[in-house]
Amino acid sequence: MLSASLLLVLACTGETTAPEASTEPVPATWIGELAAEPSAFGTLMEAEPREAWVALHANQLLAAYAAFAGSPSPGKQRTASLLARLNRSLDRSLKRTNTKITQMRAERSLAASDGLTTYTAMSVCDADALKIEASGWVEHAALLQGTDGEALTAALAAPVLVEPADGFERTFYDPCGYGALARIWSERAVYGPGTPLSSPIGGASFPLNQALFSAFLTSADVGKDPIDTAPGAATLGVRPVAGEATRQSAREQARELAEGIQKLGKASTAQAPAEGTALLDELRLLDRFQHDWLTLRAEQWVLAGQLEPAHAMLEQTIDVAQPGVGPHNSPLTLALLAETHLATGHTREALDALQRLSEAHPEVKGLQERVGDLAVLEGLGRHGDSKED
Amino acid sequence: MRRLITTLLLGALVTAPALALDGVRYAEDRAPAIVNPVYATSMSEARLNELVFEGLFSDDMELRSAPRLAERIELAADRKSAKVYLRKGVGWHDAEPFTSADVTFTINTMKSATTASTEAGRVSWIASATAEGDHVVVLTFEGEEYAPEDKLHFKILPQHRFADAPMSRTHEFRTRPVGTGPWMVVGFNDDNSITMSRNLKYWGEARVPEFTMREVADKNYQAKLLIYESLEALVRVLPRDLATLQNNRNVELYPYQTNSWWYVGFNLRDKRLEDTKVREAVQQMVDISSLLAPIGTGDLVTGPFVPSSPFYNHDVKAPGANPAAAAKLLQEAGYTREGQMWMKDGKPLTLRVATQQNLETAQDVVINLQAQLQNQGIQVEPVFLTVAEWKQKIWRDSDFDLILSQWSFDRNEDIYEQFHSKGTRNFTGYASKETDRLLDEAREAADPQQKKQLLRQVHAQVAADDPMIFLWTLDSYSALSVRVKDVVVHPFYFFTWAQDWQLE
Repeated sequence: MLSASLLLVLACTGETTAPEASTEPVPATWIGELAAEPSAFGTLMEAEPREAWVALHANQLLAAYAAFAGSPSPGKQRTASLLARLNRSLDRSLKRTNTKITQMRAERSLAASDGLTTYTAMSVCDADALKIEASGWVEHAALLQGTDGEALTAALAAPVLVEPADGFERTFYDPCGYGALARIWSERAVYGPGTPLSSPIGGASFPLNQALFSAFLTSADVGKDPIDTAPGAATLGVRPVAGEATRQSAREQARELAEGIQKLGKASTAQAPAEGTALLDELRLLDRFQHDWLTLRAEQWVLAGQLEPAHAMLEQTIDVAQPGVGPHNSPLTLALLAETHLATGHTREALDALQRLSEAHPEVKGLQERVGDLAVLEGLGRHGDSKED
Repeated sequence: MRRLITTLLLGALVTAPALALDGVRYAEDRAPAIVNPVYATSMSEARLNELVFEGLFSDDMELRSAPRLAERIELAADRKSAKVYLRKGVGWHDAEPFTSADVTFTINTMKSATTASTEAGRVSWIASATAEGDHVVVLTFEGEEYAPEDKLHFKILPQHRFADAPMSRTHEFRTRPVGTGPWMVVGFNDDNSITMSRNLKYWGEARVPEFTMREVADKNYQAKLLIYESLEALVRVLPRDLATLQNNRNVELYPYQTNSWWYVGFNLRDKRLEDTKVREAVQQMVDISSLLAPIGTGDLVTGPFVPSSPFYNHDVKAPGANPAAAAKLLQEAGYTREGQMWMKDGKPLTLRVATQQNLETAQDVVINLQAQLQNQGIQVEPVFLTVAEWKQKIWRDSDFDLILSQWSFDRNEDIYEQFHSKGTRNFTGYASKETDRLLDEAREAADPQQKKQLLRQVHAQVAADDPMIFLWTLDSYSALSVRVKDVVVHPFYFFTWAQDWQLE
């Protein structure tokens, strides 16, 4: 879809239909910029590899990172930042899962024969612990301490240790991998200590490439600390939540955003040439902005420990008609959804999100297995119920 | 014709939307046949029971066991017994007081073979239940228990309502239910709807004044009723309606993943279907993706779990449609192709496929299945059963060749009752020593990795034995009007936390 649209837009680069006169001021946003001047999109596609933008639009982050040219480059920087956020969420989920498993084992007085000793040694994740003399682990530990994110990502899809147990093979997936990946991608997302995310690269600033497909209305918003701000909220008429956020207030904020975006879309396209409107429609760019904005807002709440509103927000974010990773479901959304499920006691539901995520990110397998272990532990002693539907 | 009927029905059902909500009207594909938790077999019954009845404990919003009719539980040091202290001041809907006698009555009734409860397994771990005064119950266990409150979620029934006649499926209680829950049944209406009013003497809080369950068998217009504000809730949205509802500003979607999967089950007591080759042949004649397409998107499954389950065996591959292989298998089973039909001993291979009469989606699948099999020489007779007929012919008499149905599982995904040879929900008559062994070992396994691997082996074994054609799982969402606030949906029972819901 994106490729077709890109060709369409490239074909009409330069010549645009004259916009109608407007009486309403339209806020400056990348959405409005594209609607008014679709040729800017074509220019951007020519300036940076088109397949990189196609992959970024499809939320294929590893492919996008590989395809963006140059190192450093704004495209690589942005994609690395998304991968860092994804892996931070996975790391938080794994740590939470491990803590819960340890608690449950203690509560249920379960025997220590389930490989916990090995796993605990692995979970320390420091240089000494990484010297565990077990087959396979030493080689893997080198990856954890290195900077090859792609190789480490590939390695996480399989167990790093396999031990014979009572009638079956016990598998151990790396408990440190997501943390290591978060570090690696964070380092790639900034170019030198203290360099902000939005810093222009080599003086070649091209604002649209910093905000396109993002949760930020303008490139200026990109540099703001996303933990404390809801970028563009005031522009879009989203009111701040009074007091402690709740599930209900999160849903209402999501609805306000949807209304605000609808208005922004109408205002932007009222003055736009037909090509600009077609570009927004074909790439569903308003939906994409909404999805990424809600995900960022939910992430802010997760980091602030407000997990219930974060979860409610994420439920509003998922494109339910196409629930896997794709242009309108980012891997980060699914990771955060799993994280909030875990944090609110809904372990089994976390596995639903992880299954979708693992179809695009096989490295999630280790977390899936560990969360599965927790789900099984929580079910011990319970009596299952089943009904015809 | 169907479109015309749908339009007429829609016109009849759509009423002018109320200015202010005074209740929640929710749609079920089929109305509960019995409002008695001891005999609950369907999700619609389980959901309604959640509004009307209570257990000693139930899930809090973080899915931990929280006291409900119990106040607390004290586990003995040897873990072989416990004292349950009951909440005081609780009354039944008919104003009789709730006491420990109701608890012991419920447990003993569920355990009794004469009751023939479909829920008997939920109390099989209790050796005895004895009342100590009005508000204490002493339970002894068959073995050691670490968290008995996790198993005390079954609903408690009023002893006094069964003073004249013992518990049975046909007892008048099924249409005159009395619980302790936040809502009480006040009307079984002519249109098959059931009205529940707020229990004004409820010990806790409940904000929604009224719930009404409306039977809307045709899912094609359930979504329309919600959009036209003639309903406030759909418990299950058809996948093809998801995009429309997600884009409607007056509706919110809530994930309602009940770990459900659809299947076509063989009756293995039938001599023809006892033959694995015949079952495999039928399986290889079916193009499952084509059956699913009219319903919408979903994930195909290869065994008795959904793909996100920790027990799903991703190494088991779907056999896929293969008409040539199917024909070869039938020949090996002694059938010959005569004209358009497969014949044996002078008789055409004819199969009755049963499904529920009032589930239009299931009927569509059966019609499509009929077309696929008949095109390949198997005569198919669709049988659409009423709920009462279904309970009789499928649950009790095993009177079918093939059934199309779906199972929903809570988060424990315990398939023992469906696939163990002693399982109470093993309609197909499936019996495999290896599967029994694996299921028994999995029940006892305390090591999660061991349990996962045992049940993944069950998946592979069952898939190889072909007691069923495993079809698909659908992404399951419910939809509610935005005028219903503070909604949180329980992942299985749906209404567990409905007390917190509010109306605009």
